[in-house]
Amino acid sequence: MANYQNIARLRPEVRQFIRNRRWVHRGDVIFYGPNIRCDAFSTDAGGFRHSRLGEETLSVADCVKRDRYGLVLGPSSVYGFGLAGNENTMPSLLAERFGFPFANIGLPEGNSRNLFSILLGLIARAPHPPSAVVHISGGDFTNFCYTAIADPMLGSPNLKQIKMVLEERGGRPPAEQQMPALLAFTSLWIRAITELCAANKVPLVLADDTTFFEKPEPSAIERESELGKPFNAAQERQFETHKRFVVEYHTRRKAVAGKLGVPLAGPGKTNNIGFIDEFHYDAEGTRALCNDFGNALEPLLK
Amino acid sequence: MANYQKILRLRPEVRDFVRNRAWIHRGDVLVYQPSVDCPAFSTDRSGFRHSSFKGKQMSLADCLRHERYGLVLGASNIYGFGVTGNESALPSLLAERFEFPFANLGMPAGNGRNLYSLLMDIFARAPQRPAALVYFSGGDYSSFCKTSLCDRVFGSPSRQQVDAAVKERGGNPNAEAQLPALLAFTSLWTTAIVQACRQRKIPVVLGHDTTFFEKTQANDLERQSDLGKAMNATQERQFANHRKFGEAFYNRRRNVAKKIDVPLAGWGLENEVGFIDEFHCDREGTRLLADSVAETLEPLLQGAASQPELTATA
Repeated sequence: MANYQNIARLRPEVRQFIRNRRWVHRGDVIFYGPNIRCDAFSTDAGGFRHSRLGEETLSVADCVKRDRYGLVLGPSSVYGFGLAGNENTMPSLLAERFGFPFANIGLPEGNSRNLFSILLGLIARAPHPPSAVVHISGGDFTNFCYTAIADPMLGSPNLKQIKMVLEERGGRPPAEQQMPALLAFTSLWIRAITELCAANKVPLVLADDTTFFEKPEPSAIERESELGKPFNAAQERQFETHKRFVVEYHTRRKAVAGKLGVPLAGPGKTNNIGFIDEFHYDAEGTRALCNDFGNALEPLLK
Repeated sequence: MANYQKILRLRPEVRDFVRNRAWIHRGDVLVYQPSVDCPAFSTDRSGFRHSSFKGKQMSLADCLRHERYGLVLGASNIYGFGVTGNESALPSLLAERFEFPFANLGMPAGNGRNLYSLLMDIFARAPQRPAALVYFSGGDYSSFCKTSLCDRVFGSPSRQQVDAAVKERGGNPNAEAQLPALLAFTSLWTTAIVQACRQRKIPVVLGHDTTFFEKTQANDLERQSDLGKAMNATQERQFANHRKFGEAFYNRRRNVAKKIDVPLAGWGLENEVGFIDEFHCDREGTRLLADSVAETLEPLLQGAASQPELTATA
């Protein structure tokens, strides 16, 4: 993604994320490395980034022990790749606003099926169900853009399976043939998350998350970071797929949210927020998004 | 597994399964190769083995189009690895008995989470909800025994991911330390599957599938096939896990069934079932298990039939 040499020069704190990036399997699902501690961020024993409430640093396990807690489900943008300070991530900003902790359930390319599984496990095992859930399904789409492969029930292969999967198929299928499967996948599992929250009377907001590609005009630092410029053939394909299908993806997500009667918050198809790389928000961008999520959540919490 | 040279000599029909064994990924999950057609068995376009109903070969899609159909969720033992003839696999035997088709939803090492996903997909897209569901959780256990790894929510890595997962952990983990996660995993998804059926008023039965390792006495054919004899270090670890943790897993299965009040079929058959290899029942063993499932399912179907609203669409 992007020109990471430039990014690391312009934003030195990003170096720590690159240095400490480690993926670990839990079952067939890729998680971040557990128990990482560096100046820019830290993760808990499950590989989830710590969130903050006031002066407290909280693991997922800490959050779910509380009488009142929220969950933010999503991909690496929720984890806050490149965003220094656990207190600057989405869950911490929502905690600051609402006064109770939000756990950071951000996985690498976290897709809705895997996030549903975590939510089901937490609801089944935690002493209380969450008081609020924000679900960001953008990982369904970005994962698809990496691979150009999707299954209507099981989504796209994970980051470590791509090579194997392409060998099985004798190459990469045309992305447009796979797009209906992606739309079916994201609809199925957004609906499953919504139904699970409804069954447990948990207020839910769906996020209309966005990327650099939907931004009409880059900022000076984004231009210097060469965001949007592919550096190899794989990125060229990935970026092309993203640009080509993003409207279709957003349109489907909006339709699903409308059908389910769940608020959809965020800038949607266009945005004017700041990015570190094409897919990860900077501190101001994260705060702007969280304002939208918080505004949608607030009436549900009253 | 086992001594496959001997098995192939003793059971030549197994060759077709060995020759045509191929897995592919759907998303991050392994499924069987789709559209295989050989004398011993065939699979549909999604990689599910065809079941048989009134002499017809039924894909999953064919079953879902029927007004009344059942589903059997499980691992390769439900797929019927080594059992020749689609009509001899467990779902087909249930179809024969109840006179409506049962889809064979056996996935390679099919675990509770992935089978739950399959069920959610069917609930969302099928025109009618199933008339009955049978769930076998043996894939949770056999995957754990193979890998010595388990996560409380995501289970064990697939055979294609296990080397990477072991490397990440700096070597083979201590299976004993992972057992609580396996028990938590299997409880979570068994409960989720049963609850999903209950919400939709679908009669559900849990199947008690066992392996050769639970048998106290091998039969002649099993002895000649060297079942239970490990052929390499990986198998040694896998078989040792089976012998060590079977009681804990099966007791948990029984306790979960009791707790959520769902019938468990096949308990106590472990010595009567015959095996092709350590994990796959032979034809007679499959019929024995199918008969037990059918006896358990029958009163539930009669109960459902007496409530007309239960036959409405999903």
